[in-house]
Amino acid sequence: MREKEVKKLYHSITDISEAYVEEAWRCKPAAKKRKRFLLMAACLLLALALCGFGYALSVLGCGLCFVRWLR
Amino acid sequence: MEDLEIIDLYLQRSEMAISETAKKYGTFCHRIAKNILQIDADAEECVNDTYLQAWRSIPPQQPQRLGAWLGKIVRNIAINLWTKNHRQKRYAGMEELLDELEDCIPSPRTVEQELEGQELTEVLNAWLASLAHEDRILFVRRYWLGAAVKTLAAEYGIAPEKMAKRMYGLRKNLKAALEKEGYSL
Repeated sequence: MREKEVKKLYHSITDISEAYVEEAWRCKPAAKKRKRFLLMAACLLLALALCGFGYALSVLGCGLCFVRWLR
Repeated sequence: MEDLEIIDLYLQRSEMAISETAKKYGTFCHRIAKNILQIDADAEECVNDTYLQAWRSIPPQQPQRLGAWLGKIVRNIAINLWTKNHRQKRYAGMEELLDELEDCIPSPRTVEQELEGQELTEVLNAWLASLAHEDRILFVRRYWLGAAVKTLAAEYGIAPEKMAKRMYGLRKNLKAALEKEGYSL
């Protein structure tokens, strides 16, 4: 009897407004958003670090060439 | 592809409709069926049956929200498959969901006698509308989409025990709402 009731409730939940289903399905929880934001920030920092490293290498290369040219 | 374009493919009886549906909603449907049945092969069978049912239903139907509409079909198919096989105790996922929902039944007799399916759905819709946005999403994600408590806890960045407690609070709230409609213990 109890099981039948629960199944009935379960079926009624199936029939709830489709708008609520879509809302729940499309919603990104705060933690997920935060995680995505942190991931993006980390990627940006990595990109900046790589650019900085590349810039430093090129400056060093140019500097060495210049010193060699002076000699 | 947009939902309207997919529905147009169904209306034109183009078989591409099924592949486009699978591309856009295959994972979503599979997840719903898997959450109920816990068995990949059975979930896949449900998803395939869902495409077939969608093919047969459109036209004449033209769903406003294709995703939720397909979700409802796959959920019904999965529940039916579960009912067919549950004596074999194969599906731990659905057993767990039903066990939890038992908390919300105020009285076995009154719900059976006085709340017919449609009325119960209306009560549920009104109750959901009264909930805070996050609580509503949690309830639907758990009891409609079948997401595991552990998964929800991870998504919301809280401990599973805390999430289980929150779910218990929601079920108690639903029970109170059902009782308020005249279904007391």
